Amino acid sequence: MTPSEESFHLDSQASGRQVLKAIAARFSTRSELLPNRKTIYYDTFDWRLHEAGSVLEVNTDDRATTLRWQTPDGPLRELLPPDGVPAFAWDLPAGPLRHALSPLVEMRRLLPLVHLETSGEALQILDDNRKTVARVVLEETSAIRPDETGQRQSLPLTLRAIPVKGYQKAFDALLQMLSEESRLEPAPTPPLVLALGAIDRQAGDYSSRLDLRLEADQRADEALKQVYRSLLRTIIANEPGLRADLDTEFLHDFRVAVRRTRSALSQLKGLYPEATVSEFRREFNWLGSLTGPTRDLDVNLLKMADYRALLPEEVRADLEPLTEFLERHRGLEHRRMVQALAGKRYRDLVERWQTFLDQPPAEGELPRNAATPIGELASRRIWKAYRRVLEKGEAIGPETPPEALHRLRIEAKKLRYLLEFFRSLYDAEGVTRLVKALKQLQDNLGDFNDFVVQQATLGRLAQQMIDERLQPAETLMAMGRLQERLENGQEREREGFYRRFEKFSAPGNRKRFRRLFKQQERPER
Amino acid sequence: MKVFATYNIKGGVGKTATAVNLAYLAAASGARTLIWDLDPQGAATFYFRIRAKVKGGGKKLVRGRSDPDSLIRGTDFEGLDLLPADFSYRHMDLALEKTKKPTKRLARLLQPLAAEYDILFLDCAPSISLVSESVFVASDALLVPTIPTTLSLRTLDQLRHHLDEREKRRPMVLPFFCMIDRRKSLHRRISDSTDSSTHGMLETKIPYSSVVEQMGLHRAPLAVFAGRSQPARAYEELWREIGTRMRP
Ligand SMILES: Nc1ncnc2c1ncn2[C@@H]1O[C@H](COP(=O)(O)OP(=O)(O)O)[C@@H](O)[C@H]1O
Ligand SMILES: [Mg+2]
Repeated sequence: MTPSEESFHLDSQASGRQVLKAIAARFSTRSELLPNRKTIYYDTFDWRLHEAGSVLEVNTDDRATTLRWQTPDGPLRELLPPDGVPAFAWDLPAGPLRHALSPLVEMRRLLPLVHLETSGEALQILDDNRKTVARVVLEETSAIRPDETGQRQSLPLTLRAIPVKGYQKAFDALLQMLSEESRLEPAPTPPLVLALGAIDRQAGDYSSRLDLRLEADQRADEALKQVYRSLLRTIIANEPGLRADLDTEFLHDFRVAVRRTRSALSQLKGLYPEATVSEFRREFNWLGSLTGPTRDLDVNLLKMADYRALLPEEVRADLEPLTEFLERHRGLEHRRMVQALAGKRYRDLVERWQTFLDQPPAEGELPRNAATPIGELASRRIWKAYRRVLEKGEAIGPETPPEALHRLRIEAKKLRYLLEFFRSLYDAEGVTRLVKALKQLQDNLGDFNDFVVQQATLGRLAQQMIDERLQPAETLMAMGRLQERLENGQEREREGFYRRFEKFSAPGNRKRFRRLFKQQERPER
Repeated sequence: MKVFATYNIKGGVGKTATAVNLAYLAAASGARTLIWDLDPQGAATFYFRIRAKVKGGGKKLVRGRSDPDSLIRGTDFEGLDLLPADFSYRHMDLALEKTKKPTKRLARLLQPLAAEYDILFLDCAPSISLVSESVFVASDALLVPTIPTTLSLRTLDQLRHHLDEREKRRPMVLPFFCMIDRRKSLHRRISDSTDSSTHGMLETKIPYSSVVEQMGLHRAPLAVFAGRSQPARAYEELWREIGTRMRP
């Protein structure tokens, strides 16, 4: 194993020079020209690489452009063509790096976080054959914001001690000298953290997950405003990426936040004046349907890979016209949506909602649940939603039509949202386990529903293609075959349902729900 | 990882000079490169100022009793490492013979290196034996430096014939003329008249030049001390041409 390099921060050029001088006095050395280097760090908007404890960087010097991915299991690396910095995992050359990166990044775009420009000088430490056995590099680095401002900030002057494989002793001697003679302390902060700090950013500064800290005795109307504010932040954070169409998940996260908002507005009643609530509900419903068509087409396009895999090799190409059709329509829908989002109705909604959420607590005569402690209201609502899921689930048998599963899916989603809004009020581990069990049930219901919806969608798309006088007979045939395959999948999921539901409604989970959320009976206020 | 072997039954034809200069160029273009000095004489090891092992390491390595990674040394050049020669490689045939599947042994040894390196050069000793057989199995391409004589062209044909007779996977054979001395009429005649169609020779030719001999003095690849010299450029051209041939 080669030991890993060590970095030290220096307070001035002068002290850097001094250390180099001391090294040259102690070892046999040769100075080396160091090419300037550019580094760009990447992550997805939702910090998937950071969350996985990894760092992705592209380094360019006078020799090559190299992608390096430092993971907890070690580094992976790929040479890139000079202009070939990838936007998506699938743009990478096939190989171990792409293979490992793809399932993590999925459909998210790799966005530049920060640029670094590095220059400096180097000393090689030589043995008595005048062979290099270690290196010391004194580097100056600027961090640059990856936007139009191009704002630039110097990082601390850094001295790097770099080992050469197989010459551990020489490296140890160098490190010893640096610590004992030059009194240097290893730099405590990894370069990415430092660079992000220099441009006023912080790793993990966005997540689509709700992360709230509510108190059980808080007034319900105020607690819910906290939930709504958090959702509004998500909506606003995703807007630019959605407009610029960076990847499909900006719209997805945007829509989820809208849907959660709508779900809360309709599930948690009696907190605010009725007229206000119904206005916002109407507007958020509008926002949901405004963004629906683009998302539906995104989903269809994301499904195309699965679709191809479902069909025999020789007819896969027949789906090409469908892909083109979807892409064309998606482009049109996206443009329409972005136009609407630039319009007055949307801006008014965001502004009025923000103003409403920022208002001080209401006083005087309050709506019936406004002053209820949130702990009480949350438990009541969750318990009710849970009972409804059980009831609907238990009623499902072999003869039940698909619509019943669809309705169960909706109820499960409502329960899920409530658990997520209010998890901070309860024992975290208990809620996590219930969410997990619920999620498995939801996945099954979601997949089942997907199969149903996709079959209908394919039928509708086929009709649209015919109406637009696209007559690719083979494509229509391939779509027909797909529908057949999807029907099989639907049946499989249906069989899986009973097992999942049994698990969800098992005695252990029932007890847990009861313990966490069941209260003494008390009339609704 | 692409594996190249510089190979020729004969010694003194430019195998090591080729391996050293091409490995340097590969690393300089950003590929993580390893050169394994399989010749007990250790010329490649010497060029990189690394000490050869006296005994033991190589034999243990072949028998799978030690990890190649622990023997690898970094060279003076970033991205270029070397697995040093070992005196015991003299008896590599014997060592190989004692292993279970001698001809696949080398390929097995290389497997763990695939994650670390993009390109591997095997700098072979001249011989046709179990070691060569192992090299054929492990390599993607044999780079065959060929001095322009009638005899060496015949040897080349024999090599091809031998590779075709085997049942195993066949490495690509990429021969090129080397040490061409324009003053010798034989060299001129053969190297000018032989084209890629007849013996599959690469277009690039490495001229005879005393600069190449000076590598022993500088103990460094040509690019480091004579980057603009004719042979240095010829090696660059050769590496480019090999790149186009290797592309699928
Ligand atoms: N193109 C060349 N011109 C002149 N001398 C060369 C050339 N190539 C190699 N040599 C010299 O010939 C000798 C043998 O070369 P080497 O690369 O060690 O051959 P091999 O590895 O095939 O035994 C070395 O002294 C080397 O410097
Ligand atoms: Mg040699």
